[in-house]
Amino acid sequence: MSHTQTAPSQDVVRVTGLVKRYRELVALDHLDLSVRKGEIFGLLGPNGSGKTTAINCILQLLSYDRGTIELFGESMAPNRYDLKTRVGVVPQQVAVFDELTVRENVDAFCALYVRDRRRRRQLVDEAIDFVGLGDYVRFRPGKLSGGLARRLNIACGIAHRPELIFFDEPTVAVDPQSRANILDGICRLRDEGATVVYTSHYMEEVEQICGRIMICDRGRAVAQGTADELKRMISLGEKITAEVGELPEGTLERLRGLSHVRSAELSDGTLLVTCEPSPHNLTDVLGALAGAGVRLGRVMCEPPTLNDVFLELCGRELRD
Amino acid sequence: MGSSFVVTLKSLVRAPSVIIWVLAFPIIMSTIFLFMFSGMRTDGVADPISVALVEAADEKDGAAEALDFAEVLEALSADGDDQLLDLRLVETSTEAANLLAAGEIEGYYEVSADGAPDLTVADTGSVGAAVLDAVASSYVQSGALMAEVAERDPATLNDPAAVALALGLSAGVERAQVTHATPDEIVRYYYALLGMATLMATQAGMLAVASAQPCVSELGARRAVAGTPRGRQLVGCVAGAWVVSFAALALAFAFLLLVVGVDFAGREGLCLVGVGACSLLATAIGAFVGALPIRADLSARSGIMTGLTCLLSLFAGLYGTAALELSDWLARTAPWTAWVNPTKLVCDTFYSLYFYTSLAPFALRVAVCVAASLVLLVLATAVFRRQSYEHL
Repeated sequence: MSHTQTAPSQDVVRVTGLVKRYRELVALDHLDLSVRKGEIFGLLGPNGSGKTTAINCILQLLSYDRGTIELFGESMAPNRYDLKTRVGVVPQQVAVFDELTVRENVDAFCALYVRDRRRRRQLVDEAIDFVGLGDYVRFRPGKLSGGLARRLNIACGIAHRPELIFFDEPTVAVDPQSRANILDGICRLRDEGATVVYTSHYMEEVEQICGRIMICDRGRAVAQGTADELKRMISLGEKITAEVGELPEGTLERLRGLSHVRSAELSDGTLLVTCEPSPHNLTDVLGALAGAGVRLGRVMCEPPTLNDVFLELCGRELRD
Repeated sequence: MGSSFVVTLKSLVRAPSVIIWVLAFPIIMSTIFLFMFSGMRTDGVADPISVALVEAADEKDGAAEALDFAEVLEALSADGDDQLLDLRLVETSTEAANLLAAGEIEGYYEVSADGAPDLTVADTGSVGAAVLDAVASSYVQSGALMAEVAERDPATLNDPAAVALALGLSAGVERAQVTHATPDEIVRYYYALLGMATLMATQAGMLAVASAQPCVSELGARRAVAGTPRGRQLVGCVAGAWVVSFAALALAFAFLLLVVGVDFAGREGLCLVGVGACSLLATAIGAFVGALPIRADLSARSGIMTGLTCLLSLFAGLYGTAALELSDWLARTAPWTAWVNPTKLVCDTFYSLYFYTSLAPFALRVAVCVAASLVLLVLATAVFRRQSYEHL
């Protein structure tokens, strides 16, 4: 990746107090966001939470009512083509020219950023190699499988070697192999120096590749930090699952009465206990069960997942 | 800008809708017209006009004059490509009237006592009646002229050349060519087809501009966030679409000229200038529709263009005699419509080259095409640059 100087703060993206309204609906409500140079920044949120609106505002596709947006330490505006040249976008849907071949497509998008033909040829070759589409350069998008089309979509967004890349749910509707390939590619881009903003509904993906994560809901940043930091923010410490068969009467009540236990439920011979963060949850629960004379089968103790964090912070009600 | 131009060019020439509607459609329609009109042209050879002459009895007054008139009619009825009349000699006016009533003849002559042929026709407004009347009038005028010459300068009658000159059309008559070429009604259909093809070519401009619009497609949104200014992208799109439109219309023109054999009055070079102006107009209309801030995807916009094309072509007279009459009626009652209906404007641009000797009407229409194009392109640019994005 080619790099130019970024502001001393090392924030490649800095959004402050961003407000975007659609008449009565507040899509972004004083959103603050900062993305550091060289990181993969995950943007999580339920549908309608404002994450895509935020990206659109950052890219100047949408106007906004209040707030400031800086890219590379400079104020972003619709006519800041010097900044736009340093940005790459991989939209959620495959957005390419149906009539052009794979190679022509990558070249067409690269040409919107790089005018030198010789340099462009090299960049296009590298982008095609990067996504592994070398065998398909003469294919048109309609002839590609879903996974290959996604890879073409990515190649078109990264061919000009942007310093900042926005990936908007790039793994939707792709098979596990293609997904792994795409995630590996994004990590490689980061390793080569690019800064990545990544949105997805797949929590395990975000947890796997993102250094820092922001969860937004109803246009606001609800939480921000590393995956571990986010997990520590919620009241759920761990989940203990045990095969117990039958439980003597009063055992569930005794478990619920333990100091850090939030809930205890028995279903089909399996006991599920959720606990608040505490260093002795497992020993406390096992001790209570042993005291009640319960014979244990398999026992599992899981720390909270990002999905638990997401559901606790954003709630469980269905969204549009 | 250059890359947008190349991308637009490649995309359009490979787009099925452009191949079908812009490139193939005019050629297919021309071919259909060719077969339709070839039949009409064969049938259109004028048939001799059936007419009867009542032979006068020898003892009757005017018998000698009737004989002279009969000779004239027989000369006009002689077999050949220029046979004008199909003469039947009858003995009585009753017999002639019966033939007329039966529809076997279009009229009959009866030479009166003073030697003048009297004409009776069934339909005074028909072309046949007009021709028969002209024959009788010409005979009477020529006779009067000879009588006057005989009275004033009898010696002239001994000079066959002078007599021929006196009786010929050139005597006292100046032939004026009021049209650049001999008008052919069928040519109007082909020119209207060029008008329709021009509107079909708007698809190219529409597709090129709409695909760069952030509110129309994901592709447009992606192009809108790129490092190349949108204005430059628009110029590349419009230029690419113009080249495709020009190529398509030039191809249609070449097909009409070389394969169909449409008469462009020997002004093929100027016709290409017209094609250039009309293709610019097509591109500008397409660009304007492509830039319109409406919630319509490419298919919907394409449908709008096709519907508009079919409707406007009706008023240009493309769909047959009834449409031609509608077009003529509009030209008489609301002449301004010819300037705002692009199909009609294109049709008239070519027709003005064909019809008028002066190039001024053609130049005026080309200027209107270019001016309208510039206005539409300015509007399209203004709208295009204000478009924001709806969905990524």
